[in-house]
This record gives sequence, structure tokens and C-alpha cells, in this order.
Amino acid sequence: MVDRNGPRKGKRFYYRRRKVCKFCAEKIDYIDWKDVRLLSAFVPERAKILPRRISGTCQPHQRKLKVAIKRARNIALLPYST
Amino acid sequence: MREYELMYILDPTLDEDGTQALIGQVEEFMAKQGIKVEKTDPWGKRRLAYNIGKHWEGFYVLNLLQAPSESLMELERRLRVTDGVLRFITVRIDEEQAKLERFRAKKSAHESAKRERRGEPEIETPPSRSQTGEEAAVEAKSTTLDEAAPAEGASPEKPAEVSGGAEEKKETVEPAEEVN
Repeated sequence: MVDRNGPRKGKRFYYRRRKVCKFCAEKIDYIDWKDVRLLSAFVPERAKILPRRISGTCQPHQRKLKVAIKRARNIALLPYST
Repeated sequence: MREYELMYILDPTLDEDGTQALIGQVEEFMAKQGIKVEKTDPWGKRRLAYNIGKHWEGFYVLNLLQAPSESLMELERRLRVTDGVLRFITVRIDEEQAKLERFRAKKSAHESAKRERRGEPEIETPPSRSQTGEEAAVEAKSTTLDEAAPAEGASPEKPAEVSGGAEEKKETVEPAEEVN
């Protein structure tokens, strides 16, 4: 452990907070499409779905999130991006 | 019978009686079709995320249904035709729920198996880290509390002592001055 930290020494000011999947952290295993407040956090202003590389959501949860957002769009809870 | 979620948006320009009548109409139709309504939750008027026709608002109603698939199709057909229903969505949830249940069961089983494995052999460090962390946190909390309680008890004493000492000193000093 100590040895592994060794070569990192020069870059010690580059620590970036590791992104954590929100749904894993809060143990949400069912993403409700009716929960607008939760979903709108993943739909920024341009109404596109926030990509995984930015939100840090894990793949399985991103997949569920996608479905939920699309359902919510259908019923005018969330905007379409056009 | 399958479980569905149904959400529909009613025309916001209708007055209260109109919306109630429409909701009643839909429910009556569902009852006739042999659809069991488990829950009705009128959300009320909400701003739409985008305009539907000329409307920027809508009266949302959420239902939880138990329905055979044919009658659900019938209901969808009916809703599509009904004036005053701007939009609706039906989502089948029983499959997802079942999947979730299975997933949860599997997960808990896995966790318990892990714990069992963890309990007997000597390898305790990686899995028990979180536990020890929690315990440590709890202990830390309790110790802080323990410390805090005597500290609170002690803190009034100390100033009292200090002040008492100061008074004594003053007293000792003053007589000396008087003597001089």
C-alpha cells in the first residue's frame, strides 16, 4: 500500500473526488418514473439525459434511469430535448 | 391479472365538477371491464414540461390497477378516444416488481452467505471494515458523550475554583496592603 502511494507523490495535488453512483450510494434499486425531483437532477437544462461519465451513475442504474426518464417525458413530467 | 400503473392528464380548463365527472367516467369504465383499482391518487394541476396542444397545464391522475391484458387494451382505446384526456401512460409493473424481489432475495442471501463465510475463517479485514468502522463510530460517539458529560459537570467547578482562588488571592493581598 505504501509502495503504491510512492509514485503518486508528484501528483498529489491532482486528487479528484471519485464519483459515486447516486443510486448505489442511497440503495435505490427501483427508479420510479414518477419521482420528478429525483429524475430532474439527471436532466439538465437542454433536457438531454446526463451521461454516465459526468453523473458517475453505474451502468445498471443508468439503464434504469434512462427508461424512467423516457417514461416521464412521455407524460410531460420532463421535457423532450428537441 | 397483471398489475399496471396508469397515469393520465386531464384538460385543465375543465372545472372541478367536470374533472370529477371525467375521473368517475374512467373509473366506471374500468369497473365495467373488470379492472380492479387498487389506488387512486389525483395529483391535481401541474405545469407540463412542454405544451400539449395549447395547454401548458394539466390535471394529473395516478391509478394503480389490477387488470387482465385485454381489458387494459380496451381501456387504452377508450382513453385515446375520450375528450378531455390529454395524454395517458400505462406501465406494467408486476414483472419489474417480481424481478426486484428476486434480486433483493438473492442479494440478501448473498450477504448472509458472505457473513457466514466471514464469521468462521480468519479473513476478517476487508468485509468487516465497514462494520468495525460503524462500531468505531458508535464507540467514538459514546466516548464523546461520556467525555462530554463529565466535562459539563466539571466545567462549572473549574471556573468556581478559579474564581475562588482569585478571591482568596485578593483577600490575601488586600490585608497586606492594609497593613502597609
